Amino acid sequence: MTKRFRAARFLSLLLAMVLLVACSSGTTDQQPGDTTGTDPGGSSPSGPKVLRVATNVDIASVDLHMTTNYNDRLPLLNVLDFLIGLNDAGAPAPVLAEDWVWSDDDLTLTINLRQGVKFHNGQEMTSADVKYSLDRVRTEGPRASEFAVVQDITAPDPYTVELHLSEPSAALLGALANPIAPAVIVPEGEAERQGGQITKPVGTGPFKFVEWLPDQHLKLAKFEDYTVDERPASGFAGKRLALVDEVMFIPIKEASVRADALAKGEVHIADEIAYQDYLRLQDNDNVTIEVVPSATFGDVRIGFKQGPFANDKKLRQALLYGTNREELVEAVTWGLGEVAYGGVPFFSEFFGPVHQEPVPYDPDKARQLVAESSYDGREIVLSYTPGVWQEMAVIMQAQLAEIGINARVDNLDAGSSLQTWNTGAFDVFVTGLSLRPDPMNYYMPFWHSNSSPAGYNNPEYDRLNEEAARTTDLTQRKALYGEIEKLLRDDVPWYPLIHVTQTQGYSNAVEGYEVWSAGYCRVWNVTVNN
Amino acid sequence: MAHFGRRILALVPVLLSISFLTFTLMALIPGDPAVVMLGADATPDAIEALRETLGLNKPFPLRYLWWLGNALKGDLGLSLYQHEPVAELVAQRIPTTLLLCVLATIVSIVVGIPTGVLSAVRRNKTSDHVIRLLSLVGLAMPNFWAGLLLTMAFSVMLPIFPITGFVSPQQDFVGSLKFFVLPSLALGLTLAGFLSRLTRSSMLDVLQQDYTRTAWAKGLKHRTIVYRHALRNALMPLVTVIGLNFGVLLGGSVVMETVFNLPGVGRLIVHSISQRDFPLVQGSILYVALFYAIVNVAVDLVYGYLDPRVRFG
Repeated sequence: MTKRFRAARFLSLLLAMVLLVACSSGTTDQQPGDTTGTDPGGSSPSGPKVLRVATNVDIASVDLHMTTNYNDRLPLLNVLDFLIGLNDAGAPAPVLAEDWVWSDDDLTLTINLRQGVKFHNGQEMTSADVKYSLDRVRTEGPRASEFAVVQDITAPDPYTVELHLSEPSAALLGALANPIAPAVIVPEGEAERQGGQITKPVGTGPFKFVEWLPDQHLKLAKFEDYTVDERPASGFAGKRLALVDEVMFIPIKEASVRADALAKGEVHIADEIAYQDYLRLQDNDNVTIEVVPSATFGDVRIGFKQGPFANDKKLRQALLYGTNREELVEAVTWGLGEVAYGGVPFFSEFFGPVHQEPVPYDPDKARQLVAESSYDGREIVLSYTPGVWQEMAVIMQAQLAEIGINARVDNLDAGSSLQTWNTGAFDVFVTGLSLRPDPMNYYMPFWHSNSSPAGYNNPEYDRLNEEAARTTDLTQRKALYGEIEKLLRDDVPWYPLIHVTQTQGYSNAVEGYEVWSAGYCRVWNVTVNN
Repeated sequence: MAHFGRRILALVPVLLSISFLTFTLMALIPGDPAVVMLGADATPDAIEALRETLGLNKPFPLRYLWWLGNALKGDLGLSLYQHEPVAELVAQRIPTTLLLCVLATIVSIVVGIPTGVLSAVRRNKTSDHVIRLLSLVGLAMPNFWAGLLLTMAFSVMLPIFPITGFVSPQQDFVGSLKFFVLPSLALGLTLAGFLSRLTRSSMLDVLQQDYTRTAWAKGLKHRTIVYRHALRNALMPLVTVIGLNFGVLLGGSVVMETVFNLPGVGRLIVHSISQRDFPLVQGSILYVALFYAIVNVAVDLVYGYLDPRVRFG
């Protein structure tokens, strides 16, 4: 055997490996539908009108009742409808509901449904479907506790649903409209039909689910039998029309690649434009980058199960006064975000005078408080939720050093961060709160002694929150949340930092797209011109 | 043949220990699927209930044995998020990653070896210096950055290759290739630098051997000496490195798949780890380990061809 022959064998081995890959086509072809990425840059005049949206993370689950993941609901709230959803002002508004009435004793909420609304499977939506969906959310969902006051749900006729409560609740409408693990309406028995979990969502929205190819795309199509709500469009509610035939949500993790895809016209809308790409694309005439203050704000949460802050109010106050929010706005959001002082965001109707009152950055006062506290100079750990909150933790580390607190930033991925939060195993936790419809959702679940993962236990805070949750009179309720806010600033179990931004870009071929402080990507009433 | 048989048999303990290690590591890192699925707004009760449903409260050795028993029967379980068989999810993605790695290997060989040979033959001449400098740049450049630069150049400035969209190789092999050009270049070129330097030093070694001098003395042609005598013998260490590099490439593909939006095993593993999708992590790592092991067995066989002493020794 000549040596030349041997070398040839080596090369043929390589070739064989290439062929191996090529040959596996016959055996592993399990991908449903058409996986071609469709023609970049839109669609031909004769073909279907396709809107292409670049997201930063792929979805993880399509069963919205069971997931609190923002990335899951971003595309899927175009498919699934609320009974009562948030409007532009962040207040509950009827979506599948026609209207609602409270009984005189405030113990029964009667919701009248819109008639003739079709599910994507062709069935008409009735009270049985609503009862099924709400029961699933309140018994199995991650936010079940928000519905603890609901004793029973009845459906006296096909277009009426009654929620019977054990005590008056001012937060129930907010719980129904909460977009986190949303109480969207699906056909009765849908989860059981699909084997326990929903893997192909069926809803009543203007778009229907077509397919999800992980790491490739999520495809929606216009729902031809959609029943139009003639009320004005606002938030998740009102007149929402599918103006394109198909929508493709394409996950592009790398921010600069996402911006490139937008600049090149391969996608029409891009979510989460990074600040450096925002600067780069500002001069591009073909795209518009919109930066709006987000309803989402960062917050600092104190650990009461461990660490030096648990039994030392002065040290907690030192933290509050030693936090330079303006610096965080500059460093983390390039000056585009906004400072946040109140426990409810500007978005909320409960954002009153007490909440607007600034907390001054006062390093001298903070140093004084540290000196008066029992702090012994030991290293405290800043835990965080990965993402922009991690950057805030890093800046805070430097700010704490200035007031004489020695801090270290932990190293956490998403899963360990959640575990750290849920078990309360932290000194200080830096994270964020996305938009919630009711002030209770901000103040109560994490800090009431019954449910606080941080281990906070303040009977006065508990009492005020319980009372506020029960109080149906709006003026009285607003006053109570003012009192809670005052208590919050004195005892400092947690405090807000800054509002981040919603930075989304869209091509000038897109018409009607609105960037919303609440986030999301609402593709109804949006069209794309060639 | 016995040599081959032994090598295959040795895979069994390797894969067993990899599966055990993966299982242990996933159990040791904080956070579990119940916590991640339900998120920061879930109540402790809801998390505990889901943990019970998913069987996460059972003791660790029991869970491993249960998984192993099923795996031996060929059942790798269902993904906790996608509710589909792990084997299918991985099988859909293996061709993408494998094609990327094979193409990158070809790029690294086609670029790395000839430049290395040239560099050795023209030692200390200008071409040697240029090649050495370029290979150093290749070595030093992180592959994700190379990827971003290539995207910038060949997708945005010169719109030749698309940024989005994907055709899987098992569906349309030729049609899929355009999605693989840039990532395999980015991945292959960084390795080519390494291979080029290694080829150079290995060639210089061989060119100074007695038998090479004898060949010169016999008056053989320059080409014959370089390619027949020197390169053939210099290939031995290169083959080892190419085989080992396959592991580097499998790791690098995670990054390339992210930069170039390829739905390969790398991204699947990253997602499944961050979501704590235990069965999917377990299954996909097992597959990747199997491929790496197979490639190295193949390298051993190539040795046998290149050097009969290995075959008969």
